[in-house]
Parts: sequence; structure tokens; C-alpha cells
Amino acid sequence: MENNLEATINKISYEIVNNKIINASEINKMLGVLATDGAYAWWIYTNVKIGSNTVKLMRIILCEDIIKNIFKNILENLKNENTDYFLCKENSENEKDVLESFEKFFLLLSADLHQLLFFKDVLERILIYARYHAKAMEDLK
Amino acid sequence: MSKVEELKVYSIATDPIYIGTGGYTIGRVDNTIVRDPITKLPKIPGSSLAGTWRYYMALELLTKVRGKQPEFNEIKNCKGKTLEEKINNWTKKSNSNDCKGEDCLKFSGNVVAKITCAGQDNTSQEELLNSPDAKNKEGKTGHCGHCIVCKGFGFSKKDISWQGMLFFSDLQIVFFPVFTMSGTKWITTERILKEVGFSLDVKEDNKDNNDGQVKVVVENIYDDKKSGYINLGWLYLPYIAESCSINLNKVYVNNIISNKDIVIVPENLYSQIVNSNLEVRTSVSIDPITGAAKEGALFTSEAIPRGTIFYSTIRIFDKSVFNGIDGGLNCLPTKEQLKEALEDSKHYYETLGIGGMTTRGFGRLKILTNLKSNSEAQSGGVQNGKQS
Repeated sequence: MENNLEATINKISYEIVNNKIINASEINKMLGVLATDGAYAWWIYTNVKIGSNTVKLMRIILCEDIIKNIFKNILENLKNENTDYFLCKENSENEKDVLESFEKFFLLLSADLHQLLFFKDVLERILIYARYHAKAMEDLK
Repeated sequence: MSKVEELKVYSIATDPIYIGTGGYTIGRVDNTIVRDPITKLPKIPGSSLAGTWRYYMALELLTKVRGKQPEFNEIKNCKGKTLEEKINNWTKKSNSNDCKGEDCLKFSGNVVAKITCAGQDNTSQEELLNSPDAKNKEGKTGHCGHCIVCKGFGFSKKDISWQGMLFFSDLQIVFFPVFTMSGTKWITTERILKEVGFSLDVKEDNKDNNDGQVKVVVENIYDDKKSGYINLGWLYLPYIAESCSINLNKVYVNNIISNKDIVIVPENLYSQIVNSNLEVRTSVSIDPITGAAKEGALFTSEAIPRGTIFYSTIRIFDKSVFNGIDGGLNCLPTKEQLKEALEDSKHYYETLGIGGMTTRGFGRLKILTNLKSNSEAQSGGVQNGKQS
């Protein structure tokens, strides 16, 4: 499980929909922004659109071991940051600091083109799966 | 002389083009387009091209032979063992050269052509002898099996199946338009240019510099800047300016784009840039009573954008060696007749288009190649600073 990125993507996509962090309409718009304008544009758009849920969403994505491992260099380069602290799902304090940490994460990510494009691909895949999870859940209502 | 002639065909999208996967893939939109499974690059399948071209060739043929075709019984009453012989005898007898100067109309089998020679055959269980006149239970006719359309594209009847003489490849993207800070540029890769037939020679050290940073190669954007940065959609990349005088005559786009509009990107970025710059449309269904969007009727589609330049090949298999062989066909169209028929009917792509949603702003395509002469304007290539 830990070494299987596809399984991790499946798990994340289900979790973000099941926990009602984003709905189908928001996912569609996020996918559009991500594909057309890139990962950083997605980050700031998400911040505006879903507010406090942004931190929850990022934590769900980044706290998975395999994702942490893929972007290890970037997470380690977050100087003066306690990675465990801002990725910890149970910690809901100091949201502003946590948001700043994620902001730095995206700035560092943008500096490495190959990592950036891979992150975009992973994120796109998560959102595509989430899109269909959300549609299925809405149909069940 | 080779039995198979390959025509290189270049075309440009004059509308966004949508060829759907029919719900067999999931993606960021409801209606995804066909992609190459290996490169994830959008393409137009050869089957889409062949199907539409067959229809357009039949359409063109029918507009020209209208009023000049005899009743089928008149042909049947002619001398001859087979229907082909009867058709030939009728053609000779009536001296049907009132088809003024149109070489493809001088092909005798065209006297029994119908519009149903395009599309699915409604009378595939008929014998070839009866097929031009046969109707199914609903009264629909099918492929005649004799005209240039049926012999060029193939048909299948109870007593004979004919593969056809025209072979279509997929339309692959050669130059893809992307908005940059220097206006619209057309991106491509070294591999694609080589496939098309350019002998590109980009210096190795210009592709990646020592720190592994990706670089793109452009024709001089600014007269004095040999390097700098350029944005390709949302990606902001360093560039090296080189004088890569690609002979655009060769791909018939010299009056559409210039060398300064071309950016050669690394292979591993190409698919990313293309997929980030596709056209995406959101459509709704309007409730005619309230005038508002219907609940749950919103859907999204993606499309290859206007201005994309494609490359494909059409192979013409000269099957004249099969003439008269038992089980084969006689009286086949020549390569020249097929080329002329393709050339004469290609204009329909500029009006009726290809793919889905053609009544809603999608689908028009301009075939740039002259298929009749198919004279590759010049065999050109790319060499730094020199045109071969």
C-alpha cells in the first residue's frame, strides 16, 4: 500500500469527497484551473474558494507516506518549519502559519520543473477520481 | 514503380476539433477527446478521416453525376456477363463524356453511384450484381460496389469483400498553438520534425544546460536576445534563440505561420504543454419555459484548438495487378483518379468539418496539401542557419 501511488491516490480522492471537503462543482472548477493555469494557480484559487478547508485538503494530500517520500526534498527544504506539525491532521491551531508553510511548499515546488509537473499530474489524477466519487455520491442522494 | 504511393497530408484546424472517446475514458471533463495512449497527445483517428472523406467523396460525386445517370434497368439490359461489363458497355454506348473534363467522372462505375455508397452498408447481404439497385426491408439502398467511392474505400457484399485502395493514418499534431508573452507561438519537438522529414540539428548543449534546466529552442524572437525566458501557457521556461530555418513550404504553412512563430520544446514537456492548452467548453441545456439552465444538464467538453497543424499520410494501393483475377474486381480506378477524387472533395472539410458538435462551432479543418499534384513544395530541412 505504501509503495503504491495509485492506491494512495484512490484513498485520498475518496477521503476528500467523503469528508465533504470539496463538492463536485468545486472539483470541476479546480480541475479547470489546475490544467489551464498550473499548480500554483490551483493553490491560490483553492484558498479563495474553499477557505479553511484548504488546509484540510492539503494535509490529506501531503500526509501520505508515499507523497511525502516523492516530495521529500521540497518538504525538507522548508526551512524553519516543522513538517510534522503542519502536516498533522489533528492539529488545527495556527492555521495562518500552516497556510504560510504550504505557500512556501508551492514556491519551492515551482522551482523544480519536473517535480512541479509530477505534482500537477498526481493532483489532477486525485481530483479526477474525486470528481467521479462526488458525482456518484450526489446520484445516491 | 511502387504499388503503394504515400501522400503526405498537412491540415490546419480552423475551428476547435472534438473527436470524442464516447465515454470510454475519464478525465477532467465530461466529454474527453481521443489521445494517443503512449504520448497522451490528442489526435484525430484515421477512421474519423476515412469515414468523413468517404462521405464527402460520395457527396461530391453525386453533385456531379446528378441527372447524368441512367436507370438501373437500362444498364441491366446492356450486353455483358457481369454487371461491370454491362456498365462498361453502357458507358461506351452513351459516350458519357458529357462529364466535362472531370476525370473522376470518367470512371465507368460512377454511373450507378448513390449517396448511400458512404456510411454503413444497408444491403451487405446482397450480391454485387444486384447491389446498386437492391433495397433492404426499410427500402434503403447500400454500397453499390462499383463506383470510385466503393472501390477506393472498400465494401463488403455477400459474394465479395473488397478492402479498398485508400489507407488513412491518424492525424498527428505537428505544430500546436500556445499563447505566449510574444504572441501566439506554435510548439513542436525535434522528434516530430524529424518524423515529418526535417533534418533538424539542434545543438545538444542548447537543449539542457549543465544544471539540468530544461530549455526550449526558438527562432530569434527579439533581434538582439540570444537567450531569455518565454511562457508557454502557464509554464515559464528559459529559451535559446537559434536560426533554425525550417522550410515551412514543405508543410504548406508558410503563409500561415513564419519561422519566428515556432518553438521547439523538449519531448518530455510537449504533452504537458499541449494538454494544458486545449480548449475547454462548458455547455448547459436551457429550459425553454424558464429560460434558465436545467438542473444537472451542465457538461464540459475539451477540443483541439483552432490553429493546430496536423500531419498524416494517405497511402494509395495500386491493385491493378488483381485485375481479372478470379474473385477480384475488374475496372479499378487509377491512382490519379483517386487523387483527383480526394482533392475535389476535400473542400467539404472547410464547411462541414470533422468530429462532433460540428453544428456548434466545432470541427472545420482545411486540408493544405494539393492531393492532385501532391508536389511537396520543396524538399527542405532544418540546419542551423541553413536551409537544405
